Amino acid sequence: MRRWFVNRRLSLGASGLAVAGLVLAACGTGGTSTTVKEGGTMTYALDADAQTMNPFEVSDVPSQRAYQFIFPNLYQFDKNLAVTPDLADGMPQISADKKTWTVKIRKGAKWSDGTAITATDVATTAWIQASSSLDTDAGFDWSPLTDPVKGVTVKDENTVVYTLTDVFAPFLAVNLTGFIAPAAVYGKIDPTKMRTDPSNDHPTVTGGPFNFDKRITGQEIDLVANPSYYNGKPHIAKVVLKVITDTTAAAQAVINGDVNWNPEITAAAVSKVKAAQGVTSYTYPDLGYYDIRFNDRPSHLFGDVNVRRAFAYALDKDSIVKAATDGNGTPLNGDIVPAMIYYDANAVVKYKQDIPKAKSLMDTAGWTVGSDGIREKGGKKFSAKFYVRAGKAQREKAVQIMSEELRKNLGMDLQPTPTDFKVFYKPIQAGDYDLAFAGFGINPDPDDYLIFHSSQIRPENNKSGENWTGYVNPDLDAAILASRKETNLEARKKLVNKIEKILGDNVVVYFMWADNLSMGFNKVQGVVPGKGDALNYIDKNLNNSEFAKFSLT
Amino acid sequence: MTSYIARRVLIGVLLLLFMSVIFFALTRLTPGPPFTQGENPRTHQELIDKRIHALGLDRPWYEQYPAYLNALLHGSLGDSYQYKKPVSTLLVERVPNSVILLGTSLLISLGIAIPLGIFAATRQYSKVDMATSVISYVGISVPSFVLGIFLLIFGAIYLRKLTGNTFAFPLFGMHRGDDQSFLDLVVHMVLPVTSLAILTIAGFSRFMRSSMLEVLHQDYIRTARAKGLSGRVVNYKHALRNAILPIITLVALQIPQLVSGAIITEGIFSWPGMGLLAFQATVDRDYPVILAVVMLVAFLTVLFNLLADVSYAVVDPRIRY
Repeated sequence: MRRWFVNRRLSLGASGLAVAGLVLAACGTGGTSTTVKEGGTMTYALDADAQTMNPFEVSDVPSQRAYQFIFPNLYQFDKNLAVTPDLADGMPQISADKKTWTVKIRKGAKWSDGTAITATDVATTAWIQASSSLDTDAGFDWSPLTDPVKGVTVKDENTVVYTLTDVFAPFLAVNLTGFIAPAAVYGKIDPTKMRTDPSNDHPTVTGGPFNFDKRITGQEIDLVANPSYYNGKPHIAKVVLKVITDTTAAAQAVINGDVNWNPEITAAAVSKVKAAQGVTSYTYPDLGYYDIRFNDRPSHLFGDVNVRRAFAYALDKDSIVKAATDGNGTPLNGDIVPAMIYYDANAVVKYKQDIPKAKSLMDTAGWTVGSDGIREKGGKKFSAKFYVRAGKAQREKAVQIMSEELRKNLGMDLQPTPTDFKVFYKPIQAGDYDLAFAGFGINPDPDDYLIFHSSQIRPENNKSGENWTGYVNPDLDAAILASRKETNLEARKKLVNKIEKILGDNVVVYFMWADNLSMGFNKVQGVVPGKGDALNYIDKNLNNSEFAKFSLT
Repeated sequence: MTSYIARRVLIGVLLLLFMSVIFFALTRLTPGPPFTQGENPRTHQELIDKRIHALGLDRPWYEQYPAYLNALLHGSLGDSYQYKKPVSTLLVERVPNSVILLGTSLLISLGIAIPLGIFAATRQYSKVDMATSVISYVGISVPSFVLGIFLLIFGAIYLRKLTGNTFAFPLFGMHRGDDQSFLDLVVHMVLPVTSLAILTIAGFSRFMRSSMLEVLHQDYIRTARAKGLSGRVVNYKHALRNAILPIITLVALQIPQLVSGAIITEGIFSWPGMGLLAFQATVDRDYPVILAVVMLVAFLTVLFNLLADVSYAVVDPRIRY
């Protein structure tokens, strides 16, 4: 199953996805028609060394980028971020009550040691991930199953059956996408000792498009083409993952050709990379976003919807995003980002800057302007700490701009409070904050349950909950639950849009932007972007079968 | 001498013990735990709590310390929280890389700075002295990240353009692809070593100059000159031997830094050394790694201080303990 390192929000019905996948694939741009060269070494830039090559232990992006080349995925995402089979032989068969999911495994697939990839490997991967004794920082959630062990059964050598307690539409995108590991290797490791198993640095048996060759810690990881890869032998003979910790050097490396693929070119270097001869680059919004997370609890400053709406009306979001990101951010009005098939720019609530209206809303909420220009109510000043991650220049700049604008236009005294990452979440998770600039990663299949459903309010309703806002709205709860049970794509889109509208109308949070990411390639062909040049799908193990199609020029 | 060394060793051990308490307390009292849900919200709080409890991190630092000390005395540095492997393995992987980089830089720095300091001191207020002073001050003043980036841009980017894509120093790392040869390593070392050496040459040469000047104004030097000894003999036989004593201490104190690495320079040139490891460990609150690095540096500092004091007696026969 897949993990999302900042946050994950998921879902999408299986049948809906299948339809979406077919339709979107038919509309795809297709590959290039140039001659494919066999062989060669492709160099890939990692911005830090991978902490582990054991997929059960991966909780950092460099490790995720490293292991994505070497393990098969059961299902994965295509260029339009629709789920598509990889190791699986077709889409899952879902029972009438939608609680039993049967997955067929393709025949003939082999691990690097020559043994067959079977249903036992698929089931064992789930069992290990679901094991309560697994010692890992990676977040695996198999709670939809009736039982961590009995909920996954091997019907025959090529068939796995998953039994769910309840209908859970995101099961495909959340639980069935992601890596499969060899049972003969990882099934023998004591889950309590998985974290420090000696093989974590050098996987012995793999089955993705490339196999592990060798590793020089802190410097590089070498992979070689898997000749028996079930999607066909890769055109490229070898991949070298080079650790380049300096972003200037990493950008220049792809310009020089020292690196063939840089998956993350920093905003400062994008224009230079784009202007370079021989380099192909793509810029697209990230599969993640930033927002202002209010404390919506009634006793707090932003507990009144009029105050939150005033906040929204007082700001010119587009200009703030442009100034803070230097044009490298895509303004958002919801938590569905452009890369997702659910994205509909017209389905969200937009607040156009209207300062008189903002002031009027503050007056309605009972906050009047004091002698020092700061609003007050019942002797209490409208004054709060505005938390933001320290060292994140764009976010700090945005918070600075907003604080100044809100003081000037609305009489809110919001003090920018840059906070170290390690303590940033502490007041937020405790519900002891007023507003914070937060970042979230997202699954291509949206599911707002974890961060907006009232059952997940932390700390009141769920000790591990991710709903920090404290916002309670029965309509929102109902829409979220309905979307989790709806497997029809079109019906689900309507529910997702309804959720977006409730979030926007009530300004539960104030959505800011999605980072514009850039990937650069030098002498690599076969890269096929999705809509809007999006290449999210070939990053962080969303899809690795594409790597076999790449070749060097 | 033997009793002096024994006394110093005992003091050193007590000092290390004291430092281990301080360092341990500081790591545990730094705000922010090593594991938080914020980094990966799918990790349940219960699992985080369970792990923190298993590692004993939910107890007061003074209750955790005895277990740490016991493990340390038995040669165990623990497992890295982030890298998920024994810290000793990480040190074995990283320390040699930093020693190669900083050791080479130190040797080159000394090789240039000592003659430069002597040269400037023996020609005090000459144009050469003024020029070396200005250059030294510039070297001391330039931040390492500015110098590193400048060298990276010039040596690895513009040099390529200037030579029509025929030559440039590598942008990153210790080796280029499969070439693990010594020559390839040397080529990769040029820019980071230059960056580090410029900074230390400036400091060492100023120190050598002032030390030499101090000695050159001593009475016995004047006497030596009055006796008719040549300038070369006075400067290099009589003056240098005394003037170099403080440099020995300085170098001895530099040696622990070879192990601790150079955070900024290693970052700019993607050099997989201890500096990067220590920096990331601090950001991640990877306590075992942080403690291993600071205790290793503390141990080497104590050791080399002792060695410096002993070497004084070797260099200067007048000194007796």
